[in-house]
Amino acid sequence: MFKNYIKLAFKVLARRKFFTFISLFGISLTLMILMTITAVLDNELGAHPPISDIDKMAFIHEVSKKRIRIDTVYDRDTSAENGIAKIDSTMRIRESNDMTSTSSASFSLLDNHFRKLPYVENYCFYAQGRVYDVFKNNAKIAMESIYVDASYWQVFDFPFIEGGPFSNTAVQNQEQVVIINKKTKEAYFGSEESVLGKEMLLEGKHFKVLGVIGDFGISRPFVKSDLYLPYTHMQAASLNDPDLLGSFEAAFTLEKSSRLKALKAEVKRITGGIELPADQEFNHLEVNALTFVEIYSQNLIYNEDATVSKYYMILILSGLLGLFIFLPTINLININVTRILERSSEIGVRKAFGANQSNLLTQFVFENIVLSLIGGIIGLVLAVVLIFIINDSQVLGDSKLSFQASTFFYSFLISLFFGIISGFIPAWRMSKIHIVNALKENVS
Amino acid sequence: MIELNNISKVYRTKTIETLALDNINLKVDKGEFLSIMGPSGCGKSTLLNIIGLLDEPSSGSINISQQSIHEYKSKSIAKFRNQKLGFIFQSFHLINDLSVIDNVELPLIYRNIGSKERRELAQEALESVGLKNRMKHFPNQLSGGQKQRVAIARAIVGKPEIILADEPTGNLDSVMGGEVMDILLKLNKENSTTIVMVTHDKRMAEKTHKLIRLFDGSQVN
Repeated sequence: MFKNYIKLAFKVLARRKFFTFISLFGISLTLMILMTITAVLDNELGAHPPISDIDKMAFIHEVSKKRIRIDTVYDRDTSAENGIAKIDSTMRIRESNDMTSTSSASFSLLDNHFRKLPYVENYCFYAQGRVYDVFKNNAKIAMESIYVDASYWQVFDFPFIEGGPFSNTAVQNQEQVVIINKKTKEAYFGSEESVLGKEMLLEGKHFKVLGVIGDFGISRPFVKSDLYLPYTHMQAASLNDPDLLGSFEAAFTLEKSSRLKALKAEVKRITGGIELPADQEFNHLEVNALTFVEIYSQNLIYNEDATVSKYYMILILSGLLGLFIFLPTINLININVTRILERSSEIGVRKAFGANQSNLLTQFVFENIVLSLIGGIIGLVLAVVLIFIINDSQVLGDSKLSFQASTFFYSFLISLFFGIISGFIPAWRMSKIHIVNALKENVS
Repeated sequence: MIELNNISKVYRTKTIETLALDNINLKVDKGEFLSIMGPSGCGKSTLLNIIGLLDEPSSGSINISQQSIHEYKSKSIAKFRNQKLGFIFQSFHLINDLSVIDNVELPLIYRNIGSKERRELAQEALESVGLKNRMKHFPNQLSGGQKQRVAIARAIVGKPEIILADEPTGNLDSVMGGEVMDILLKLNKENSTTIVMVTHDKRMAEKTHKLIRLFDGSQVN
């Protein structure tokens, strides 16, 4: 019996080419867009090397110094009484923040206060370095750098293609060692097979290459760099600067993600106990441990409270995704209703010749299942092609989108679900129509 | 074969009550070819729909093939229609999305007959109406007479005991109408299929065994 329904569905869809085209177009385009959006989101926010532990990570990304004063606020209300203007004024006292200075943290702030946080399994400090310009074969190579400590290599799981990270001893002894990425290897050393132990000349100093990192598709500045140097090579002044603001950030890997909240609270508590230098105009310090998603959303939609930013981002994203799903669905339902209404004579005939309600429902729903399946397959192919084009053309920089089988599965289920619903509702209404009335409708 | 006792049908809207059939008593024997005549709106089609179990009478009882019919919405009534009755409509009611052979197979689909057997039976039925060479065509590629012959093939493919024809020649010219009528007469004669036909055409009605006339929902002699 099901074989009949499937055959019938194919026959009807093949005969109604325009309807089939419109529906397939809608389904496959929706799936393609959903797949691509989720691939971008996954690339931006998902767990991939070198931040595979992203779900149980927190970062100290920014530190703010503020001047908070007690302020008096006057509110004036003008009204008219007997034709004469009357002014009422009220007064409120509130805390007001009239000056803020925000930056990364200083090494001393992190070093003195955030080394012994509870629930933390591993942590590292790192600072964006300067750009090193090197001339090689009469061409300038500009290399971005990042200064890191030894545990940086444990917190982040970089895909080494040669050698490995530097040790804590190397960091403490200010050894002149460097980790480079594949691009730098090719630019600096050309086509050499192995560059381990080879030296790079950076501003008059010879640095020995200890490891080469392969490509990865994440372009966050705290992991993406051309050169990775021991932080002890930074100028002593910036390491010993007692100011609270500097150029360092910290990443923490927790025992488990459920400890994030407790860690945040602890960071807040510690921050409360940090005294600001008396000679400065600032009287309030703010240090927050944020998740990767919170930092990301704060960059997109700024709010002082990162959880609010995150909430807005999720709201906007799910709204957009919802639109992408619902608009085509509503359209599909609409097309289906019209199409099934057109077929009322067919419904009448089928009923007259012995079809019962469930026969008819199954038939129409099968048509939509077949349609959704074909649309799903086309959407899958389109998504793979689009993702390939995006990666190949590098419109998103070095980011490499990957096809998410699970996302495909879920969006496919969604489209199947809506396919069934959009077939079921009109078919159910029509299948209840009285045969005599169904037969009175259009005529062939 | 078919027995109607005191059948009445009243259509009710909010404001108006129309008596479409008034106390109809009718008996059709096995192998009989009955025609129903009457002016437009006299209730012919309503009567045929009631005999075909497509519509429910307001009062009265129906017996078809020794079965008295009570329940009109159940699956069993659909099954009963599928096995005992075949329909031919004035406006053919072929499914445009399906080929001629698929249209003819339609009643068999709801009998759970295998596809090979369905195809054979449908071919047989098309052959008997002289349209075997049109199997792969679609309804909109056929003339009116051909469409009606396809509809007859569809009505007889399941070898029902009773065929109900609602003005089968009404949309056809006299030549095509004559051809269709000949097929029905042959069917009645050779397979002793019971046929009830509604018609406007006196010449067609005269070819049948029995004729009843309706006027304003009542049977007149």
